[in-house]
Amino acid sequence: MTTVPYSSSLGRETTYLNHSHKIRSWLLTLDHKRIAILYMISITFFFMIGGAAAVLMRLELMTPQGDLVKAETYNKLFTMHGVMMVFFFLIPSIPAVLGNFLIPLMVGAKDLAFPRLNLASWYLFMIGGLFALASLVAGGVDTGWTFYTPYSSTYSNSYVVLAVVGIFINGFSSILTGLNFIVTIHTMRAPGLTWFRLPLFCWSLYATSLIFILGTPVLAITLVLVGVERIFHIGVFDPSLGGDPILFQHLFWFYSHPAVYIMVLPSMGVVSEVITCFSRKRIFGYAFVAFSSVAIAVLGFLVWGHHLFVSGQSIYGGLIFSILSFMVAIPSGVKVFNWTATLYKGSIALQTPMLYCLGFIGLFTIGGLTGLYVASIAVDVHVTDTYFIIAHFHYIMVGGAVMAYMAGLHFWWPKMTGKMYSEWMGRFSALLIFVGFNLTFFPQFILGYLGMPRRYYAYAPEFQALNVLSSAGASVLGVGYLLPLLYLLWSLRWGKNAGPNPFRATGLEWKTSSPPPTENFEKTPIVNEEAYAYHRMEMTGDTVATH
Amino acid sequence: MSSQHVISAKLYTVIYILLMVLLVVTVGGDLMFESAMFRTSFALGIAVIKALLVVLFFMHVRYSSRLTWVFAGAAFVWLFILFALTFNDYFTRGTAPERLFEAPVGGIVVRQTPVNPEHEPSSVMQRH
Amino acid sequence: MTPSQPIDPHALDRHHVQGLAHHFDDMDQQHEAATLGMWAFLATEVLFFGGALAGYAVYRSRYGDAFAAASHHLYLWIGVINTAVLLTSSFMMALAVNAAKHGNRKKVVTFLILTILLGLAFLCIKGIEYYLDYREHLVPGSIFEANWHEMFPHIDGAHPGSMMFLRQVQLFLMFYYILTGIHAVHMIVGISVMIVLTVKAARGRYTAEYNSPIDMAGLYWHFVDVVWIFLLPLLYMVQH
Repeated sequence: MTTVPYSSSLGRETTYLNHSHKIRSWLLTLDHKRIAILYMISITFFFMIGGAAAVLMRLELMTPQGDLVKAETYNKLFTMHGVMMVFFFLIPSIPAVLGNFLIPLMVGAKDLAFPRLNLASWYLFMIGGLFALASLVAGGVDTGWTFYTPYSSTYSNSYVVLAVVGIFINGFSSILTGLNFIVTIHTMRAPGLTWFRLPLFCWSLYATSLIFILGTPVLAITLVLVGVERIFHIGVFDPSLGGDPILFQHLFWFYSHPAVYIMVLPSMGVVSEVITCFSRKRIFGYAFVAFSSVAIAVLGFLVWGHHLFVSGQSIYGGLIFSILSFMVAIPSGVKVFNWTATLYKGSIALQTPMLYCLGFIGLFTIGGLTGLYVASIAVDVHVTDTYFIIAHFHYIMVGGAVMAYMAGLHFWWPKMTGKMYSEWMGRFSALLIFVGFNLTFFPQFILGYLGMPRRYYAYAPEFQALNVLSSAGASVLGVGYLLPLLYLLWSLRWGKNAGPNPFRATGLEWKTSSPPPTENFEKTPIVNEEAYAYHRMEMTGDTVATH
Repeated sequence: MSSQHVISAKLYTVIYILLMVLLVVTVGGDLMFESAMFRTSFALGIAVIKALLVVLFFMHVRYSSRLTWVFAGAAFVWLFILFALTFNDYFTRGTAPERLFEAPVGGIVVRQTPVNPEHEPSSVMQRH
Repeated sequence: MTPSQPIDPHALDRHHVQGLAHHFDDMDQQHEAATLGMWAFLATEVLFFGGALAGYAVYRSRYGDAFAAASHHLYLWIGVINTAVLLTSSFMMALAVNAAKHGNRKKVVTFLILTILLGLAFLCIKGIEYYLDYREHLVPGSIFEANWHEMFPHIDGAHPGSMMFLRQVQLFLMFYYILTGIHAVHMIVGISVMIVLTVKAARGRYTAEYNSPIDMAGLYWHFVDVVWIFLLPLLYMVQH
């Protein structure tokens, strides 16, 4: 670490952002806050690549014929969209950006338990990203983000190995992040900060980290097996060589289904933070919300076979996986119920983060309920590999995870940068994103139910009207995502100073200055009350609770 | 450090000797026993004992906090989940209900309207 | 409000207690964090090997005959010798940890070097075994396809089932190489780490109070040992 110099400009505090401006002080930083910023910039970059692929796909789908791109190119586009969005945006989004920044602040620690591993995880992420980008530049991958064998391992003539290596390396970045969170939450909580006083964001990231460390290695070894099969032509998963392609699907989804919860659990954590703050109420049923996170993480590991209903898995196996899949609805339902109950009789302020959160609750509910449709084998057989599935998981991943990421970003932006963005712009783009999202994906439910298959660049003419609607929605959504990029950057230069606690929120992160100093707190804070004590804050009129 | 339990070199030596004896026993069992099934379970059983000795003493889990137990245990619980639900599929492949739905054409379930209702079998089971 | 810190907090703490990182309150907290982190990492490792083992188990349950036949072509005695070498290496590591807890620098260095040497011996023996396997054409792919008659003279190549059998044999061999291969990679990583630790230990970086790195390397090394304990019966002693 570089030394902390005296503040050079008069009257300005030394913060984690301005204690040194050298490039080296960023690239070799061990400060969790700076690493979070590095992650934020990186995932925004990958989001734009994945987004560009989506734009091209939606343009192609404006007309029933394949006219903009070739079929092969289209295959590469949706693969690149999936790989970039899943592995290089959604999975690291809330954990690696907001989690990295906030967990030490929320538990009242100076840093994560292993700062060097934290930096290493960012480098691994970037190296993995470079491999994935290299596969794109070299000519792309056409297998879909799921890399199903034996197509990926034997027949595909694209750069599968490069992409697989990228995801393999990226996996270790996730593992290191998860490891750091688990250890930090276990061992570095401030005095008085018991488990049941922890912000629910920490609980949900703890649950996420469990999936990181217990699921990711299985994906890693599976990708090794695919690579070996592809390079040495040994039939691990190729039926013509004695292997079983369904085994690949088992191993792949053992990680990749829980990965859905990697995306949505942190989102749930964000929602719990934001919804309490903008309802000025304590969370309804703290323990239920906390344990439902852990329950989702554990149950999430028991349901992967619902991706294999039509793959040739045994019917008994399918039945068991179907029943188990329904069970995930219980803790998810508990959460939605508790958030709604938190809103009840709260003094609700519809500020930007809250708008995103309310959007999350509605869209997540639709995504979750359609999840029950596809958990039933009979319905799933009908809609497998149609746009119904696309719509369902985008309601969870975009309507859920990205909405929550935006909520979190707007909620903690003043903390991270010390600046306020334009509230009106924020509300406007939240609305734009909500409308654009529904316009994009709701027609896809209908398309899928009518039988339009996914992953084709051309389709039957009767599907055109709904596809045009969807593409129009995508352009609205695109504008909705570009606006925050602009006004958030704008706020860095021209935004008003935020002060330590602009939203009058509880939680240790709001008790230090914005942006926080390198060591987070002047002295280790002591906690003597529950999380979300908004009722107390409202009664005493205490805006910045002191310790 | 006061909070850490230090295992004596003597105990380590005892465990090491036990491990070596068990190694000899594994090989002996492999050469001695007739039944293949028994030999496999014997060899794996010994492996489990050896692993437990290493984990409990060399890795001093026996003297560690409950949290260490939980994490060491969680790894194996998750391994069990992976095996149990994977084999839940493999051990029930091709059993009766699956036959009912077995696809007659190219692996895809094809629902056809009967051309001649009299000749259409009442159940897919009779198809070939 | 916040006074700027004139002195680098990291530098300050390093002088404070040897080996204590700035963001921890005390040695106990740091050790607790390191231990938990290591165990969480080992849980990851269990599932890393576990994924491959699940694949192995699926195929073994289906192709028992071929797996047993292929396994009998491996050198059981080399596997057993290597197990003994690795167990001894683990024992040396345990003694190194014990010496570190007592702050005995000389013993720590000696036992670490012995651990490393035994680890290297394991890798050498493994390398020789790979070479012997190669000489016997126990390599999946074209080498095996061209030479399987030597290993399985009783198999009739014209029989339709025999091709499947030979593919299953290769499947076993593939798992043999992947499992022992990733195990060997773990050995190499462990040995590299321990070389660094040995140098640091020789320079007196570790004391009776601060020896977490040696403790953690020990946990890792014993884990690699445990993996091998299971690989021995799973690869060398397949029965059907």
